[in-house]
Amino acid sequence: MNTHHLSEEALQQAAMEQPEAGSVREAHLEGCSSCRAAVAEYRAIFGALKTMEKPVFDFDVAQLVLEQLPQPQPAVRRFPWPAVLTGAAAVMGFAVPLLVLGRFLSSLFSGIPAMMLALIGVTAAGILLFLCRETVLNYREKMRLLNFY
Amino acid sequence: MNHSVEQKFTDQQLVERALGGHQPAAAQIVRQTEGLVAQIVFKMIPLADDRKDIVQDVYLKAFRHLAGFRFNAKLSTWIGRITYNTCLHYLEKKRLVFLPERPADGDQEDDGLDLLLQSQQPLHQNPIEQQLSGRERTAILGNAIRKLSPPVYQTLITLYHQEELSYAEIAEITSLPEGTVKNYLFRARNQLKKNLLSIYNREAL
Ligand SMILES: [Zn+2]
Repeated sequence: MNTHHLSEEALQQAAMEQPEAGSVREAHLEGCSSCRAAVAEYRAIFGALKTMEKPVFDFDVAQLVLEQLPQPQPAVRRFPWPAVLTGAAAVMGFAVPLLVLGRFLSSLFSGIPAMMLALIGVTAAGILLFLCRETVLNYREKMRLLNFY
Repeated sequence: MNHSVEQKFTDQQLVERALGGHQPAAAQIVRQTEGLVAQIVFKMIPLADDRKDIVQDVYLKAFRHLAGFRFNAKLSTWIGRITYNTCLHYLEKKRLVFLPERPADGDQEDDGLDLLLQSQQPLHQNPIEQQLSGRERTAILGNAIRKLSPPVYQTLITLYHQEELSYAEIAEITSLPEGTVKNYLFRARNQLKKNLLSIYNREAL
């Protein structure tokens, strides 16, 4: 004979879940009519809740909301000023010393074949472009996160 | 607008279309989520007159921040969360209490006593089952739910048992830890049963 009835929590679980064959809970329920009755009560409540009438608004929500939404506009992205300014600063950072040291550099590169020079130039440009793209994407992502919350 | 030809889109498709200014997609987002929004708003906002403004506020916020929706959760859960927070904010502003510090430790035995007056049900073998199968079921259950205290129990019971959301989804909507949601729901069910039983017991006298 069972001396301990199921806890309130176990009764609720039993009412919400499929019976687990062979579990301690099921074994107790089989032999205890008062716990069975308590489970049946919970089951009745949960069943009634599920089929209870749901509240509805007495106005057309979609219409109300759509009227207030801004009219669709061609996707205008805010001009990425910070990225452009950073880019410009970077170019200046290169260009100014280049101009100043022009003479010195031209003598430095004079010994290197034109083909090699072009190759270095293209590689450097490629890397620079990639970095710029990363920066812009990063910036957009951060702006999106800032807009949220 | 013809509702019957509404296609089934994924959350992502809907959001992308709505962001592109596609109005039917925006309308569909509203229609797919307004049931959940209604559940939360009706449970949390006692004044019917204020509900319209709140619903409008919820969706305008949702659409304003739609680009920031990360698809980590279901769109409906996200909008549910906005709804819950908007309602809380409203209650704070109106100085209406929704979340007392802590739920009462022992659930009061006489919580549902005054419900008795509203119930006209005859006696039955299995009181709850019989009462709840009657025509007044929605009214009786509704009253028993409204008696749940603290009031957050009312919302939790509704979201779990009527909307059939998971503990995790409810935690997401209410910003409560999942363990707290489970614990509150356990107490809320217990209280609800007592409320309904007390209706019956008073009648049996
Ligand atoms: Zn027992």
